[in-house]
Amino acid sequence: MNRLLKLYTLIVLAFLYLPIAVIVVLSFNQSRFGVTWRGFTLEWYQRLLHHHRLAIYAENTLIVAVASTLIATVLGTLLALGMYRYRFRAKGAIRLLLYVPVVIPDIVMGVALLLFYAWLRLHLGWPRLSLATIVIGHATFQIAYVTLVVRSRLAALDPALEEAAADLGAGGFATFRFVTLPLIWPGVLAGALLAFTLSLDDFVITFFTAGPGSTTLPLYIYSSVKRGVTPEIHALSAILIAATTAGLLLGRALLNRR
Amino acid sequence: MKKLSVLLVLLALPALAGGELRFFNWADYIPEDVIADFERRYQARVIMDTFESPEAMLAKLQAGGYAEYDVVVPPDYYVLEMARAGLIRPLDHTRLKNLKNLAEEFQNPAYDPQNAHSIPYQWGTTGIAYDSEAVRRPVESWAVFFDPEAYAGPCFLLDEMRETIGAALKYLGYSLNDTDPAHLEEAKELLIGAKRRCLGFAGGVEARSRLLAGDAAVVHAYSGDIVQIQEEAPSVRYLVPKEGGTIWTDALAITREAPNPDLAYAFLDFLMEPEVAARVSNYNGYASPVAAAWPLLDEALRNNPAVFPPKEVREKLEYIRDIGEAIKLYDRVWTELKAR
Repeated sequence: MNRLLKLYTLIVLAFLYLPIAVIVVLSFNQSRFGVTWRGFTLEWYQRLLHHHRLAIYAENTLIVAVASTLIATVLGTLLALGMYRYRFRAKGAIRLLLYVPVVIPDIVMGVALLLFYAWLRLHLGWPRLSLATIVIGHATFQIAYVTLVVRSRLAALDPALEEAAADLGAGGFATFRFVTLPLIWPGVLAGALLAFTLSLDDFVITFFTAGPGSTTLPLYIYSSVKRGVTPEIHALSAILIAATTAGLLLGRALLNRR
Repeated sequence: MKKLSVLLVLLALPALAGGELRFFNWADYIPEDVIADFERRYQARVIMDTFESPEAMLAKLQAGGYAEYDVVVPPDYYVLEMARAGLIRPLDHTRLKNLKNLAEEFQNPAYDPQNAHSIPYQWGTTGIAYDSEAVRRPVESWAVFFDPEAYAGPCFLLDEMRETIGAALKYLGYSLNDTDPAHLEEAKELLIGAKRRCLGFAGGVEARSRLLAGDAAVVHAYSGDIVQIQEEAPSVRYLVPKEGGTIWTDALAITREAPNPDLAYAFLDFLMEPEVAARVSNYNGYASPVAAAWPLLDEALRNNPAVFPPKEVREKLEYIRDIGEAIKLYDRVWTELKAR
């Protein structure tokens, strides 16, 4: 029985990670077109360095990820804090609403944003689809993730600490700055990293909210599939996988820290 | 003296258009250095976005892209439809002095008479690719798919409705734009047999991988996909069957409300310069419609019958045309075929 369970675990892990391993292996393959192994090379990584256009797409991806993460982290943390500190009537509803961006299919969110922007444009002549509209789109779903992570950190916080700070004469902001924030900081950072990785590889919402000049790496990779994915893309994917994994591991480590 | 030479260089340059050019293109379909040269000459910045299917390109243009992009790359069968929908503008030929560089057959193509709305960018054909070391008998006809007697080895049909039904129609001696229900019924019967003998349907790139991996010996394929791999797999051959095949062209068009039409015209004209067109084709492995560029093409490309089919083959090539309502007949044949 125990052996069966081990086997089952192995199969599940293989199912999850083999496709990723294949991409990484192919990124070192000399063959440009086939999936057959023809020898080891670093040529595709080298070419990647000189691919001017890909550099622009990578830059777009990073701009979006950094900007949306900053916005979402600030707003998400404030939301979590507000829900922790104050009692108000719509709290239950907000707690429920927080889960909506997490569970809603990306495609619904993407179409909704597209229509919303189109509606705004019709009445205000603004905004044109661009990097900014992608940033807003990403922040929309990232806020929920950040809030959920920060709230779980806050739940473990002893309310007596804030009360003690107030007793000792700290104002609202000072309490936040010197007591609460240092305590929840790992949660904030973990939320930010989670948000960052979510933005980095988001395709669906980006697809619907991107305008001219705002192609990101996931969009480019998708558009190159039909004309044949080049090994440069495999190399790029391998780098993305490494970056995302590193972000997730870092997030985990911070979250587990006491 | 130095000043004078600078002045001369400036005068020799075409009017500097400047600004930004927003270009909507297939991924990996233009060499980076060609874009860089254009940017340098016109003191401009090219912003390129990529699409994965003509349908996606059309959707983006309809969603307001016709006023945001300057230049787009539609397939031949979309040009007139996009012109009718007001997504692209009629071209002012006086601003395209390099039009004369186009080969004669591209001066007045069937998909866009007189090049009224577009200029051709790259072209190719659809036919049969096979591994000459794996096939059991010589390949020269669509019969390898449709005649059990001519079966040459494991095969794949192309997963494209018009191409695949078109191939069966061609084998039967009809036009691949035929809309006679009886003819389509004949084609369906042939295709059902072919599907049974072959390994199934595959997209262009997948079919190519299966051919390279040795899973298939014969596949229905696009010329450009195969030309790209011939260096790596010398035993792979491509041909247009003796009954004829499809010719396709990717065109360049300017959107109706292009923010920078001057630069867009300059870009189109630039891509019809012989030296530039040759670099584009050498990179892509597709044929160039710019006749003046042919002498500058790589030897291997210029003399490759898969890229430039000989005249007698050219005459048997047909464009896939918009057939209007009759497309429903094709849809039905395709659905029934896929359901078997």
